[in-house]
Amino acid sequence: MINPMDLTNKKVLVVGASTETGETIVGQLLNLGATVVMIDSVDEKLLSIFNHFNHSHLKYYCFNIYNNQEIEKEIKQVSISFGAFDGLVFCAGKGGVRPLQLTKNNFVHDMMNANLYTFIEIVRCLTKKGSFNNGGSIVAISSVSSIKGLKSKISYSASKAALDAAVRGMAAELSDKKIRVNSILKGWVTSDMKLDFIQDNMELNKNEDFAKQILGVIEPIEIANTVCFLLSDATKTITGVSMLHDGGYSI
Amino acid sequence: MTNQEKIALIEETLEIDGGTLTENTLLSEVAEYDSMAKLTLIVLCDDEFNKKLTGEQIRSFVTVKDILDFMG
Repeated sequence: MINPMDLTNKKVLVVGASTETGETIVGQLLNLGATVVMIDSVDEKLLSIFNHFNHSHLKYYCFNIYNNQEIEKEIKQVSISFGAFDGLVFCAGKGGVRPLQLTKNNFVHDMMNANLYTFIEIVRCLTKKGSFNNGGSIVAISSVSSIKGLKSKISYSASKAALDAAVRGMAAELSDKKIRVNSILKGWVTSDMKLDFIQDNMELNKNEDFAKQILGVIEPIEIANTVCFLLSDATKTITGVSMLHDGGYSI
Repeated sequence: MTNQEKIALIEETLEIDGGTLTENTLLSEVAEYDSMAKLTLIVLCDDEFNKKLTGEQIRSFVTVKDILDFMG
């Protein structure tokens, strides 16, 4: 039997590993044979995931991923410590709902910083010679919000649309090195439902938004599978794509 | 912040004509008080008063005074 999503001998960096989806992605990468380095801002959470998996192919490194002044130095250290990578998963970022009248500049800036600037800076630093292998694959977690007009999601949608646009530009530029870059437009995932601001918004909107997702809520493992699919050699010529995984939300 | 200042802030943020609201105004009779207005209130309480307002608490508000009391 063959496994087209086999990731044996591939080294993958997961940025934002301490989210529930991030942790699930890490688990599935390990199941498929990859060596995984987790990165996030909170040491205790990373350590707890590290202990939970207790796997010889799992390592972690902690720094404030949203401090753009530090990323270059930290990613350089990651390269020195762990060697060149074959994959990058960016599942960090920030959510938040805000009506237009309260979508002020500092809120927009924080969201763009977390969802776009950090991603671009990490990819810029990680794809330097010797840090990322030719033929590697980069996957960013985006959202179906990037292609839908939704009340109170102006800033979030804009930041995710910008992320998708960055993915296309990177895909073009990195094609010379056969490095692929894609994003996943995810719909409602079970872990999203636990966030306070989502619960409040859903209560107030009588769950109308969620009801649009006609196949129901997505389990994090499904997102993890799509990530692994895009990281694997099964999709060696898929690049610059923002792939919908939204339970039918957008149809 | 006085109650009058808080009312003015609510009116401005929810785009309700100035002088419309009093402490005793029933929220159910304010046309602008819809789900978006409630979401706006959540953010306003967080930004201006550093208080976390939940959907459940919002549903328990009957008059403008209930909002003012929550703001503290």
